[in-house]
Amino acid sequence: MEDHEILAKFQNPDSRNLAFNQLVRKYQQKVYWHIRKMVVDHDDADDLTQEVFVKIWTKLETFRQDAQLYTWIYRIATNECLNFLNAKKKRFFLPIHDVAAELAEKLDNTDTLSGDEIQLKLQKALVRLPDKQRLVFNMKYFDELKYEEISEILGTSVGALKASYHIAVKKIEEFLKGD
Amino acid sequence: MKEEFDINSLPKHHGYQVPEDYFDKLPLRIMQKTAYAGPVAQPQAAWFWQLKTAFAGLGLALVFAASFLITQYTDQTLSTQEAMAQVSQKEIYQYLLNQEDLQTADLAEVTAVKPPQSLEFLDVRTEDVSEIVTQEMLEEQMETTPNQ
Repeated sequence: MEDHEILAKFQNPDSRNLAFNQLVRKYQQKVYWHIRKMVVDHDDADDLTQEVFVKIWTKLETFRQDAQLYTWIYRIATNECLNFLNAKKKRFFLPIHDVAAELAEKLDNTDTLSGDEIQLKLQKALVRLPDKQRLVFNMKYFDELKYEEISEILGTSVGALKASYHIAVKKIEEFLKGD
Repeated sequence: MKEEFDINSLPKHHGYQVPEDYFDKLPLRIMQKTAYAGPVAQPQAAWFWQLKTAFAGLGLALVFAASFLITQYTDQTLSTQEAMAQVSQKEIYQYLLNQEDLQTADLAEVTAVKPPQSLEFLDVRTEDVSEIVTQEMLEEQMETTPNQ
């Protein structure tokens, strides 16, 4: 179902729940994986995914249809991730390296990753990146979004995003060579 | 020969996994949460509340401004010095007389008490003063003529 159809159904109180259910089914995996790649832990990603959709439910009425629905949803999910990671650092007074170490430790848990060794190495390299650089890399590399789309989601210029992605790739290369 | 690093040679899948049937059950869990999340925000209602909050803030600011101006123009509170100036000397003496722990040294610090009024203030009889003066004069004479 197209986004505009879901939105039109959502405006009608009689079909609101049905429309929202369709929206959840359409976007749940994108939202979950976007969050999971950032927070690593499944339980954290599960909680955040539910919170994101509750926010979408309460704010969808005010959604301006001049923007794309999926970029709006991505933006909410991104903000939730960044807030979660920042709160974690503040709560435990952790510097960025300690958060990276904690996330890397979770990656070693056999339940977390099903992939091969190179996937584990790549994820270990990624958790060492600053949050925003990691976001850019994930959206560009795994989600294959265009820079223009990422720019709309993060509110950052395309030039800055290209530079950020380039730096992230260099850091990953260094990590993989040195590992 | 140095091998060129190609990021695209890395796997395009992240490799994370989820519990079985996770995405089949997730919509139901989310719908249960939204049922308790309350009604969807209505834009008109939001505007109404914003407007109401703005008026409440404005009203509060006006109350503060009015109370400030009123206190500025009607503040008749006297300073300590002005209040003391209105108390008569007699009342000050009366007050000091009622103080049980009053010492002569304290009197010296009271500028309101003039020297001629000191005796009156101390409530000393003239006969007592004459007796002490006479006694002092006799003692002085005894000291100056020890052989007599």
